[in-house]
Amino acid sequence: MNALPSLFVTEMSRIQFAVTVITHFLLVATSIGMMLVTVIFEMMYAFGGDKNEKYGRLALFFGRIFFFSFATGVLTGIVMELQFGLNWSSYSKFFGDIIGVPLVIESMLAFFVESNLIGLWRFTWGKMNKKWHAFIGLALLISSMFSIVWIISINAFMQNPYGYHMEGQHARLNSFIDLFENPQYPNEFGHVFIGILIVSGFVTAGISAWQILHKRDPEIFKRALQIGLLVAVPVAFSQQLLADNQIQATMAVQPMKFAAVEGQYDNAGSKTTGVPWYAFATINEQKKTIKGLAIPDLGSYFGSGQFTGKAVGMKTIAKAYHTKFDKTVAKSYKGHMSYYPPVTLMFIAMRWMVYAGFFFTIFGVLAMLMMMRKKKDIAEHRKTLITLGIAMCFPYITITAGWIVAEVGRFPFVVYGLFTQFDAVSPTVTAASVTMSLTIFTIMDALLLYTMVYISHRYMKKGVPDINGEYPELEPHLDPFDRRVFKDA
Amino acid sequence: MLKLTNLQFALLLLVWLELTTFIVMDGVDFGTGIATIFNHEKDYKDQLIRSIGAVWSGREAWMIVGFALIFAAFPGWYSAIFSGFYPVFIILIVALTMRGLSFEYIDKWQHDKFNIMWRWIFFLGNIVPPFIFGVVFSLFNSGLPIGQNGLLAFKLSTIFNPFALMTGIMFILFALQTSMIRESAFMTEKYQGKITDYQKKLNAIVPIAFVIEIIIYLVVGQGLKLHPIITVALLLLSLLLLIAIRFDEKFKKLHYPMIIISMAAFVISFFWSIFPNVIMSTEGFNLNAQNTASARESQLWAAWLVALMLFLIIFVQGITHYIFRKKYQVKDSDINY
Repeated sequence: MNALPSLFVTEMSRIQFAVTVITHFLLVATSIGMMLVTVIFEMMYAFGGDKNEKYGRLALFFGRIFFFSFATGVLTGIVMELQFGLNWSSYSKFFGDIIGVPLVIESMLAFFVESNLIGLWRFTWGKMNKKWHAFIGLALLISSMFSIVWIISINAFMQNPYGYHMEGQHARLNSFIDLFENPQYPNEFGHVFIGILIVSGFVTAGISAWQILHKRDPEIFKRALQIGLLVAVPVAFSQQLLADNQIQATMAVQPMKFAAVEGQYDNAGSKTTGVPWYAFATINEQKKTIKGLAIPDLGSYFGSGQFTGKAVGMKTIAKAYHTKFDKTVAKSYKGHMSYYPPVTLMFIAMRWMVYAGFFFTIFGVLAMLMMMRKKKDIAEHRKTLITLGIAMCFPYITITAGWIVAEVGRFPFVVYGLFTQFDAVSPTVTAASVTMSLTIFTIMDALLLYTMVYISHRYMKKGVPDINGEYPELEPHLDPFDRRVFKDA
Repeated sequence: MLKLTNLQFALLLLVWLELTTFIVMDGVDFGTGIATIFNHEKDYKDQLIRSIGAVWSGREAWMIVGFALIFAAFPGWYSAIFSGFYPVFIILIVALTMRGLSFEYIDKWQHDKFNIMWRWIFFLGNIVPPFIFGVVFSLFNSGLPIGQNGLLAFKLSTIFNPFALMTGIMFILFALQTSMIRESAFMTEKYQGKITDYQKKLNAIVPIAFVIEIIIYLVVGQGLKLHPIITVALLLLSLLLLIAIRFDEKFKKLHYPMIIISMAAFVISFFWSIFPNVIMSTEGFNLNAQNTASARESQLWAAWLVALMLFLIIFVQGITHYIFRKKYQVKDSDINY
């Protein structure tokens, strides 16, 4: 009777959730990001003088990309909402009281309002007082951003259960307000929100740089490049502070996650010595060793602000978890539980976040200085423009890395210290159906992303539309699976 | 009979309203989408799509809100629906996703191959969801085996029973008829004749199909045992309105509200006739609004917040519908569909 329970459905459900949520979040970040700059441009157009028509055209240009990503994002969002019941029905039964409430608010205030407003905004361009139209855009932006408020409150609860009590087989909510008083909440909210702003700014800047490089309306896109950098760079600095707060919070509530992202297997440091911080390393998860280039004492600095201090290693934490959870929360694993998250993945994801954070600030400032040079126009700084274009995908990798650290690092819990993945999964779902759904969703999401990128790129190539949303001339274009597409690429 | 608390009753009512609103309002869009297959002229299809282009996403949100409210107020119901109907809902999600995308991607390609592909995707994406909802709602009503853990445990072949299939078809037919009546206000002169033609055919087919549906409903569904008067009254109301539309020539303007009431009465009958249960069982206990409910605190928050926000969203949706109430001939701008 002491056999290891079959984890196949659990693992497949986890992969499915990861695939769908990562796809969804890439699109969410793009949508909010594009809408933000669209609203900025439309405000400048609506409230500026006659000379500002170019901003109206830019609003249409970025609005177009927003439409594609919004449509795709909303549709992948449907998967997310239903997936709680599809694959994680035990979890939704157990915690429905708590996570259901923010979810219903999110669906009404964000999903519903934005689904209505997008039709209104899109189909009334040029047919309505432009100031009013800009305010519809603003309402659309705010309602989309409101999603973060509710969704993060659910996630913060799962990271650090707070404001609930147990009643038989159900967790009950103490008060809805408690969800927002979770100490985990403000950091996490700020970190995600600013992450989206960085996506917004760098994607705008990247697209504009690409357009300048290809000599499509360079004068107009110079303004867009400037605004993109202005959105991203200032917040990139504050992101580093928020990230440090996030690390501190993690140290307190989820020591295992912190030790894993640092690759810290053994206890290290003391009152007088510090903990090394690995810049690069190879990790052997079987033997539980780490080798690499380490900067002495820096490991203590992150999270505490001091160069000395003690850090508990994963081996000690795992031992403590075994005594604490094996007989209680994790009893359905029948003693076969391992509390180690995938350390290598976590380590790499964390390094990427740290280095990308430095890159955004340093390169962002450099690009701004390049823009300010009087001697040489930005259009002649080809290397800067190319780097900006390539850097467009960095924020996406970074938010994915952030998701991996936060959610994979929670292993093996769904709600930290309360509920395991194996207990959360739907008992009635069979291996065959979960394999089928994972295959379908993976193919579908890949096609969605490819088609979305492809069709946005095609509209980018058309340049900026005129103020009525029409393109000067329609070039012949190819279809996404046409053989010639791959030849050009 | 089971005594529900006021909160449970109010929330159950809200869920019914939201799901019924979804089926009726989005049904119109589904029907319009299905109708694109009747005629291959590009202009015909464009006009149909443009008539729902600005409002369809807001209408579809009723489904999201409905399911989210079920999640918050009746977590047991939520987890039973989705884990029980797992493969069915995967198909539904794919259909809804592809449908939503085809609004953006239909006729955007140079090769006719791709245009035809997306046109078929659009058609399938519109015909599958109403069918699936018909199947699922009718199975709530007629009963499914429910395990000790309160989750559904049934073979997928259960779905292929006459009641479920007929209800699925009925949902499609209702959607089509509603949309065709609506489209007569949106299409240009050129296609008015065609639309009237489709209306006439549907007027003849739908009441007959509905009579068959009623017979199966009363035999297989559990409504007649639990609430005979309400079940019969709702179905009769629905049927009478359909017959009235069939034979009336004078008050054409009233056809749209009539068909909407008829469809709404039909849809809500699936929930109302089994009140206070939410899913009937053939084995084990019924799932009802009490044993699936969340605690008072959660329900209180959900009820208040939803009720307050209902005004906001009805206001926003009202404005959108008011602006797009008539033939809204958008100039052929590239930023629209």
